[in-house]
Amino acid sequence: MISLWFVIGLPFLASLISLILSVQVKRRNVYAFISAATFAASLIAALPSLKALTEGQIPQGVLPWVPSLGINLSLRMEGLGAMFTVLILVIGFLIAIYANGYLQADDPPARFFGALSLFGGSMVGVVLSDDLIALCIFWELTTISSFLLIGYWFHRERARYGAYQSLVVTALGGLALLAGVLMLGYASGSFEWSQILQVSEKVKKHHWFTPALLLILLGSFTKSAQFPFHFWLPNAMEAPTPVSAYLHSATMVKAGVFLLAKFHPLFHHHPLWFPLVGGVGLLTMLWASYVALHQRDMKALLAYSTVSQLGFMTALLGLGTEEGAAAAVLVLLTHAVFKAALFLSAGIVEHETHTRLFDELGGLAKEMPVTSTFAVIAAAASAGLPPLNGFLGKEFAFEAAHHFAEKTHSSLLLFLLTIASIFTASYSYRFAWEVFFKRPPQPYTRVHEPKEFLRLPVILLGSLCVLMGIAASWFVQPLFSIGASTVSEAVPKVKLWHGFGVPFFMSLVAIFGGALVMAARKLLTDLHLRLPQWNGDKSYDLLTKGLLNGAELLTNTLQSGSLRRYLWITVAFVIVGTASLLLQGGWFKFPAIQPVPPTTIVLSAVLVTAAILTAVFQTKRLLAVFSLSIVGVMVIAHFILLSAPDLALTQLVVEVATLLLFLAVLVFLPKEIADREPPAAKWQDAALALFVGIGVTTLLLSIFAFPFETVSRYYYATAKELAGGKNVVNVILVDYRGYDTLGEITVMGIAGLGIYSLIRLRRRLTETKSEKDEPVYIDLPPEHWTLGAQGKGSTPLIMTVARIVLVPGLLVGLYLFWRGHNAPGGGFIAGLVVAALIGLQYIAFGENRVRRAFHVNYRVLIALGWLSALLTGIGAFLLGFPFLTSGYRYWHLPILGEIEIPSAMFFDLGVLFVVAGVVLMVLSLLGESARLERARETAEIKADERAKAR
Amino acid sequence: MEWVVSFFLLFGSFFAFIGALGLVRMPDFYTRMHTPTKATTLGSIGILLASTIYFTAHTGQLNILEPVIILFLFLTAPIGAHFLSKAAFRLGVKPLVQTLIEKLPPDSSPELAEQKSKDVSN
Repeated sequence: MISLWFVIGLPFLASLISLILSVQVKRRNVYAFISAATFAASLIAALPSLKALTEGQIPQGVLPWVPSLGINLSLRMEGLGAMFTVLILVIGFLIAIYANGYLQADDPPARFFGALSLFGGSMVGVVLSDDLIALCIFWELTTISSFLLIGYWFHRERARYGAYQSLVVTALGGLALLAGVLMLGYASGSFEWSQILQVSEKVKKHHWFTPALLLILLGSFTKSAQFPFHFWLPNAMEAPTPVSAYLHSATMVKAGVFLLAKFHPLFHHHPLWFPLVGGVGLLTMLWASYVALHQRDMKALLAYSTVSQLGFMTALLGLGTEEGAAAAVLVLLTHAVFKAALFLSAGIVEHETHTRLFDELGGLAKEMPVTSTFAVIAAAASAGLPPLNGFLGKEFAFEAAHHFAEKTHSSLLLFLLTIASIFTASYSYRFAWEVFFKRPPQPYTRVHEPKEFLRLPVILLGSLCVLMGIAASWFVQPLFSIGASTVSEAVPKVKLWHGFGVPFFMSLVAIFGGALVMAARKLLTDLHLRLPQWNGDKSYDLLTKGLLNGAELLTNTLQSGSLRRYLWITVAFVIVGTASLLLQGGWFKFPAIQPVPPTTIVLSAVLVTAAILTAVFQTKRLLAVFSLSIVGVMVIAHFILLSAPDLALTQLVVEVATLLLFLAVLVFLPKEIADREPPAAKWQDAALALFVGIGVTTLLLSIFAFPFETVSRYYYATAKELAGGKNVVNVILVDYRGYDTLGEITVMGIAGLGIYSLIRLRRRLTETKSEKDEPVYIDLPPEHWTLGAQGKGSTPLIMTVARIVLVPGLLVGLYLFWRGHNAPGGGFIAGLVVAALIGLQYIAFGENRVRRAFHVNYRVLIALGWLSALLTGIGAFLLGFPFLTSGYRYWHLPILGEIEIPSAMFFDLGVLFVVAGVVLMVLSLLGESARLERARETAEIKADERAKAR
Repeated sequence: MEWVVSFFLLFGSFFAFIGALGLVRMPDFYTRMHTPTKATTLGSIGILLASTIYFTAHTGQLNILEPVIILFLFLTAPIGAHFLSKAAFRLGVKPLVQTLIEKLPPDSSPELAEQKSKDVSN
């Protein structure tokens, strides 16, 4: 049904509009109107679906999302989801109106209402998603919007703490939920809840059934603030009160209960269901209602009372009976109404008196009679007084519990529920008494009835508490029938009067027992304060601190700043990782050795010697660089012998560029490094190196011993036809594996820019005033021209040669690029050739001269190259082909004749730009740094001389 | 044809040998530098020419690779030699007194100037 998309889409749209408007519009009314209007419109859009639902259809809609993984954005309005949708939208509408009166002039409205709408949309998404992955996404979105709203007044330290804590706890739960959902998905073969239910027998037998249950319970308990994860909810009370009423009482925290109810049909026969869900629920209910009684802050009292009521719902679901689940739905519905009313009236009290502490409040019934009337009604409903909706829900719940108790022949459950209800009644009395009736500690000035915006939602919700109680068949039954249909096949009738039975007796005990406890409250609180205090905050702080300390310790151990250690750890990890696989054995085979030509033997001998020399010369940098180059050259020779011209060419230009960069860097380093490693460390290194060497050798040997089919045949067969190129290597780079190449040049570009900022940063730290930001062009005498500060003086010889070589060399580069698609060459090689040629100019003429003649911003070059590659890929996308599909076309040019231009050429051009840009940027930066350093040294020497002369 | 190829091969080998021999025989750095850069280059050119002629005749197509190599040798060998000697000069490597003909101003290498003044005083 198309209207479902409006139901879910409108709040998101409102959020987006608020975000866009926030730059220009500052008026709060505008945002409140947008928010309220979209909630209302969304509700109207939901009406056709609701009508269809009562007629027995199930409205649904599917939007393919990641069809290849079986993930769709599929909506399905089941009974429970429909009830929640109405709840979310109606209360959201009231909250938006209320918040318009609640916020102060200096509170930024766009941020508030934007996040509120975002939350509304995500919450509707949670309850309407049929696809469980989509549900998880919306679930996390509610977590994030909750984070944003709790931290709305982020200048307060407590608000930041609460926001962060709620994010950590509920997002962790969200991850657990995701894991559980994935397990369910793989056990059933689908992520659609409606389809999982159809194969529930298969799922129940799967060995992931129990782990999935546990993980989903973890997600649900964290969200619904069940013990021992309840502690985030009181801290979330730092949010503006409308947020507390909406997210942290009426809707979001009920998402966990919703999840339990949704999964109830699948899980409720599981042996762990009752002990876990019922046990945790009861414990939470008891404990939180007891703690709520002793709070000094009225919002904290309401927070704990919410936790307690959530525990009540969880416990009812934990019974595992259909009646119990239906009772949970009813309690949820009634609780949402009276608790929202209570929170909103607490918000009014705070708004008018600027305090939330019971000690500073009292007697408000005189100052604001209307608000007080409805607040007291809501408190009475919370206490479970007849004929209000709280009583309605409780009676129904007690009856379900009573039936359960009869079935199990144990009245412990009833006993515990009664105890908890006594506390519930007593804290409700206390709230009403201490805020509205007790004598105020000091007379109020300027406290009066609030604005209509603030009062209206409370009046509406308060009246609803009464109406839902006395006219249940009109105000409760329709929505309840829809909601309970998901968990219970036969939907029971709700009625206020259940007769003189056990449930009524329990209610009576709670109502009067609550009054007694209330009377003896002072005594109890004194006793409570003497007991050792525990709340989850301390454990949470300890855990997070431990986590951070542990992370710091780990980071400091692994990333000590010593390159040697980084290498060691990386290599050792690779060894351990592969060894665990290889030790299983059976992989080693000795291949048939082919006769080795003498050239290969000689080349290999030189290679090995040079490699050893590199290790030996490691303290003498220049020698080490040269022996490393020999290794490179030998590798090139091997590539040629094995007829891999592309690789050989690439390696050749890479060697040149590497040597250039090495030499440019060497200028900044001491010529020799002190050999500080203790001998033991050297033996360690040697052992590790030996391990790697032996491991790689045996692996390579055995790879050749196994017969394997290479993919190259496919490439050879299709390169010309599919990609229009004869050079398979290049075609692989720019076409078959174009994604990889795109990733690689991205990494290269980022690395280049990283080097740029590092060098610039280093210079800024050491530089004197006159050399800030842009380098000053100092005309140094010729001995300072060259790239490095070491080279004293260039010579006409090299300048001449550099000039001669430049243009033909660039032509060679162009030629290599042009033919790359069909013969050895390509963008990477051409890029390095260009870089090497311009690098030669740097050496010959000095960095500053080249810069003046050839002014290119290499960072822009890198960006352009990357864009060119990306746009080539997107171009194919726009033409209706998958990303990075290449096409080619033949052009007839007047003189050159038939010319083939593949789209991959523009991709390759991008590669060229990025490669050349990065190498040249680093070279010029190093040259510039060397020159500036030299200039400073010269200036210092001259200053010294002058000082001496004086 | 064979004669021409043989001639160039022998020519090349001879100069390559001379170059190697000179490297051993020459008395100081500066003189020793001449032999690998000059004689050996000449030797390489001889061998490359022989190769050009042989393969051109053999395949019937003008073989362009070796001439290109020769071109690059001409470009790189002098620069290499030049930089080597220059670096040595800067580092203060002392030439034989017999070869001391000054073209650069005396103050460009303090050690050399010192040595020369010593030589003069001796």
